[in-house]
Amino acid sequence: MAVPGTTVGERIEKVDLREEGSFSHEVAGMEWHILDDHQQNLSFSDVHPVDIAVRNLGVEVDVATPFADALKAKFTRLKVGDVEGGEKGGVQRKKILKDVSADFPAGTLTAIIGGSGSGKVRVRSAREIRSHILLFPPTDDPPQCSRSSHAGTKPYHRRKHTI
Amino acid sequence: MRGPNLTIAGSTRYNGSSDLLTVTSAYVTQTDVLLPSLTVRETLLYAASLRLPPSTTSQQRSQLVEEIILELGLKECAGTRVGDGFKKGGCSGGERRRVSIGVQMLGNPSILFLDEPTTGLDATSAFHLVKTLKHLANTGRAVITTIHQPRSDIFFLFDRLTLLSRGDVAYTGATSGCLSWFDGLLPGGLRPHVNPADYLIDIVAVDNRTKEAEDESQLKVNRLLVAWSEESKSHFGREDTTLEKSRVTSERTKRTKQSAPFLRQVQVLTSRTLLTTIRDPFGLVGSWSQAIFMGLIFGLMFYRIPNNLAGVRSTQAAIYLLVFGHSYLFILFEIYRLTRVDIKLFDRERGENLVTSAAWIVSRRIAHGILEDFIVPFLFCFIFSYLAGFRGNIGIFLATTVLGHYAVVTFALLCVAFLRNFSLASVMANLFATVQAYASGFFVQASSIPIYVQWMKYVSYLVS
Repeated sequence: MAVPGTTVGERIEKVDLREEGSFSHEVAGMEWHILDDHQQNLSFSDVHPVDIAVRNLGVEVDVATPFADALKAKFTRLKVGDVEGGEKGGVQRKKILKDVSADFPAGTLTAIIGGSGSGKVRVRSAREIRSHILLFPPTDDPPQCSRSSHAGTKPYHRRKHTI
Repeated sequence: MRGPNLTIAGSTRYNGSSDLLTVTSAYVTQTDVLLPSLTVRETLLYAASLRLPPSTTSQQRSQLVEEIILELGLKECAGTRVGDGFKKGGCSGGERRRVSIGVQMLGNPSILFLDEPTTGLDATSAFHLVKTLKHLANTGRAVITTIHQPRSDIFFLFDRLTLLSRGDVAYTGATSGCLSWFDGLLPGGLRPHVNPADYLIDIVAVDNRTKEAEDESQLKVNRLLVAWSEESKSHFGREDTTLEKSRVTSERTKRTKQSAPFLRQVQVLTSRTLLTTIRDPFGLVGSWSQAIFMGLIFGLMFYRIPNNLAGVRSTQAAIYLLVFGHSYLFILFEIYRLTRVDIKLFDRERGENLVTSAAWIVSRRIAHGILEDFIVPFLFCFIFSYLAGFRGNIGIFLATTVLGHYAVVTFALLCVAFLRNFSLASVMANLFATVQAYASGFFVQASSIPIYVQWMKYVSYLVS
């Protein structure tokens, strides 16, 4: 019985493991709970409907100002980026999504459209916070490096190549 | 909530729960990461073996795979190799995209996220792909996709639409209501014969080529955003919407992302690696013919080294080549093979919690142990030492070459583990291999190396 608000750990205990046809296996010291959805009905036509409700979602990301830009900004008093929160230690915050509310009901096909850099995807993040990301499960691509012709008006995303 | 470099406000609820792991979801990335030498059916079968619990019989799995093949319209190409899009004979781009979706569908997800699935497809394939998505949505899933340039009939296939402009929502809701909403704000904005999707992206785009244009267009866009913001409050004002409440009572329980037991992962991955190594030109054929070719070249160069004082120098050089010539080339060979698709596939499957690093490494070594790790150095060593006429215990030569081979294939993996990109990983490998070669004692007598760098001979995998 999934009650909203219960924590993940609590819910695991409530699962009757045998009945669901599940497996638990010790792999490298980690326990995997394997619950099977396909055992009774090995067909993928049986879908558990899930509605997604996004409310007032805002996502901010740290963007590291390149050292050269930060230095230049210091001396020329140029505005480094159109980012909120000011500059502290070369790290700034950029809003990727501001106050997004939307519904994605089960059984519908939803498109998210918008120009480049409008926040469609590419909220890239560590895997552990995957569950909080909404419209955008993290991708493994580096965030888009968008730099306008305006010198220094756009922040530069920190790139990482490995996961 | 605060991640390493991400701050998130507001809430996202999946049937009332804020944890995505309480529901099954799948994510199709923008690029296809598939093994080119497997057929469509094999790709799905291997994915099914990793994804579905071991209790399922292979019959059940193949039944499910056939069902997915039919559902996604892959029947025609089920026996075709996936291919990589460059060589002839593989699947088309649209088919590969559908295979990627099929792989994700094996988990029977309630939510399917797609990142620009139509990018790189021609208009017809894109249309068929979105029709497939529509069909999947009709079975009761929530399908959410980002899309760059939908053609007009694709646009009308979408049930709902979310239009974003620099992180703000300009519209979200039914596609049918979208154009009338913007027509109310900008009367007569949409001219005939214009793709509505293009029109929508246009009106919320900020022209940032010059400062003036940016300010002006931002003003226009802000009007639209403010209008929606007001409208949005009436739509989503209350925190608890009826939509959420309606599903909360669902009896379903937590389903975590699953991973098969270790031995099963090893078994499936080994079988898959064996198959791809045999088929891939850079696998069996490449590594064997490389060993034979190198053996012949070196062997003919040092053909029957004379048994006199002049021959001593040649013998020393030949022994150096025996241990280093093959292994040096094989580092690059292995890095190339890893960075091409193997490590990307591993990253994806590990990200989806399907395979563990240990299982992947063990399976790769087992599969290559059978097909390459012994045979390749043996071939090279036999041909070379026979032609050069080495005297002495052939067993020692063989053992050295095999160990050298193991040292480099694992070292190549180490480099790729640090750097996923071929050029960077090969620079790293080259750097270390060169240092090791010079410290090996073939060039400088190890005892005459200055004391402060003498330790280098201990890190070298070849020491004379």
